[in-house]
Amino acid sequence: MSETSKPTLQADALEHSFGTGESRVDVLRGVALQLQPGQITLLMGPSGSGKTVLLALLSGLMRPRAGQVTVLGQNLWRMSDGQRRRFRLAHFGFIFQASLLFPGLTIGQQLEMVLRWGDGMSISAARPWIKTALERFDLADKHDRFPEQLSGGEKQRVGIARALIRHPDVCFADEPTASLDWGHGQQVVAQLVTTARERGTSVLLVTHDIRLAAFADRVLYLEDGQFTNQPHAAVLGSAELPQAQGNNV
Amino acid sequence: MYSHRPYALTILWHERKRYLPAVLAVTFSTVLIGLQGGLLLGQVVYSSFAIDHTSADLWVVPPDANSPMLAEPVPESWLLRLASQPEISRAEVYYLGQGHWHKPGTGAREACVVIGSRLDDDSLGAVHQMSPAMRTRLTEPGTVAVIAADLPTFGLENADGVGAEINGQRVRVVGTISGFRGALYPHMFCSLETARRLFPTFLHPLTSFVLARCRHPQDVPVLAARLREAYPDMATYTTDEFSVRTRNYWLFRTRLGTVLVCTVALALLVGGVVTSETLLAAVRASLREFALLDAMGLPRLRLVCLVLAQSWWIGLIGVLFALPIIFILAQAAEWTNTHVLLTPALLVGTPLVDLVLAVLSGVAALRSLREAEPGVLLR
Repeated sequence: MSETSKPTLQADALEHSFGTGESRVDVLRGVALQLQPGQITLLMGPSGSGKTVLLALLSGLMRPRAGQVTVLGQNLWRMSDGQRRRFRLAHFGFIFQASLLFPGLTIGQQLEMVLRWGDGMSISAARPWIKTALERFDLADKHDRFPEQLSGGEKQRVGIARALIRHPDVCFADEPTASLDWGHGQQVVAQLVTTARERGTSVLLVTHDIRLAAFADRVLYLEDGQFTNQPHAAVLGSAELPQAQGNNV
Repeated sequence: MYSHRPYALTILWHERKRYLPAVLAVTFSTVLIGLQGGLLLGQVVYSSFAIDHTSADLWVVPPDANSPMLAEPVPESWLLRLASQPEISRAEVYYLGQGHWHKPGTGAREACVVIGSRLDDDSLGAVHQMSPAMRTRLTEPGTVAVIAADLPTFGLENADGVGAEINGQRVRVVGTISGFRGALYPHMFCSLETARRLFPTFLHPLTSFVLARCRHPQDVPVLAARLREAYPDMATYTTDEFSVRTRNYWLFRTRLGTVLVCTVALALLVGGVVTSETLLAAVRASLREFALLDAMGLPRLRLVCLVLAQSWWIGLIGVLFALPIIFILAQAAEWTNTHVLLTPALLVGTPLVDLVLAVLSGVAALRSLREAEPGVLLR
């Protein structure tokens, strides 16, 4: 995907802090970035560097102290709460470290719920979508299983299928492989990346695992609330350093 | 493969161990309210059986009479007041007294109610359950009939002419009547003459009423109103009015109604608290899952409806468990001669009350859903 194509998401001069007065802690300081359609962006940084906060600001879950986030040409933080909620529903997908599946619902119902409640689909209209999603993530035979009957990797694939089933424009993934071993984590991210590229979904993947850089189109390193070209060694371990491509550095 | 099941029901079934206490609480609440209500209705209906099962249209009693057992005797001259009304086809006296039954053999005493009435075919005071043959036998002075269910209370094995004493007067039991029993005391029936013999002194006062029947049923309320206006010293009721007055007396003045209200409140409290707390814990256990749906922007109303649907299913399953239990326990109570009256209103009203209770418990549990905001995913 060309760097010059119109970005799906653009953030400018994002600042955020917690507390006030002397106890104020600046978490983000003038961060700017772009997410391109179909591009996988890895966001790395040590604990407390502000990765999760940045994800929350970009996805409309937390209001920044300053700066703006524009998604598909619309300023996210000029919308009302209701508009932003509907915008998230229409354009965003979310994946977290835990698969966050309701233990009492079958895998099919976890996906069906999103389609019915999110798009008002009828059950019969949702069926082909669910079938396609489960087949894409090698879960075709798991439709009637409950989460407890699935392995950790399978559960996370259901979580990804749920995030992508409605074809979001942007997918935010916060440590999606943190609870998986490398083999399963690699498999899960490979399927996420393949699906995102095919559909032109922009993916922001927050992770501590430098090995995932192999799947990314670019890697951003966040330290002390700013992007840097010289990541902290603790972030990288012994892995080879990919070239940082943050927009504000 | 793709058959649809309601999400709330699937969750309930899959996590049934978690939700079982709530279902059982609703069941307990429904059984308690239904049975207690049925027991009370049974007693209240019995309290007016001697009014409901007669052929009288009008009851003339002293103004302060709330119940047949608690009324003062009325002047027998009132009989003439009624007999002189053109709408009335028949008027007669009816006796009711509370006496002491001396059990045969042991001599132990048992409080009882004696009802004396005319016994001819057109009698207004004789209960319908009394057969013509029985009425004929009771015309012999000193004979009484008892309610079959009361035989053990009277210390009798059968009613085949066995002798006993009431208020020190000899009587002979010549038969039994089935189909009902007294609310508080065992009842027996006899002729007017026998009743007067059994209550000869002020030590054992005998209450008297005047009963009347109208030629045309449509005249009854009009005549009752006219008599009330013409004779303010005597209280005139239609049979239905006096029955309701008697039942209300038993229900409210004897605090039986208060007992019912307290029982219902207790049952609802237990059912409501357990259901609400169970749902609250269940929502909290899935707080992050709810938070994810919230982050995705799914309508919050859907999440609310999911919790309420769970409470609805808990209520429905709870009352479905409860209904057969109510029937079984009511039948068991009948075997011990305790009447449980399960009216259609009670059988519909009790489950409805508990369904509302369950849904309200769901509403109370919604407060935990407020904690399910995306922030919990970012910690």
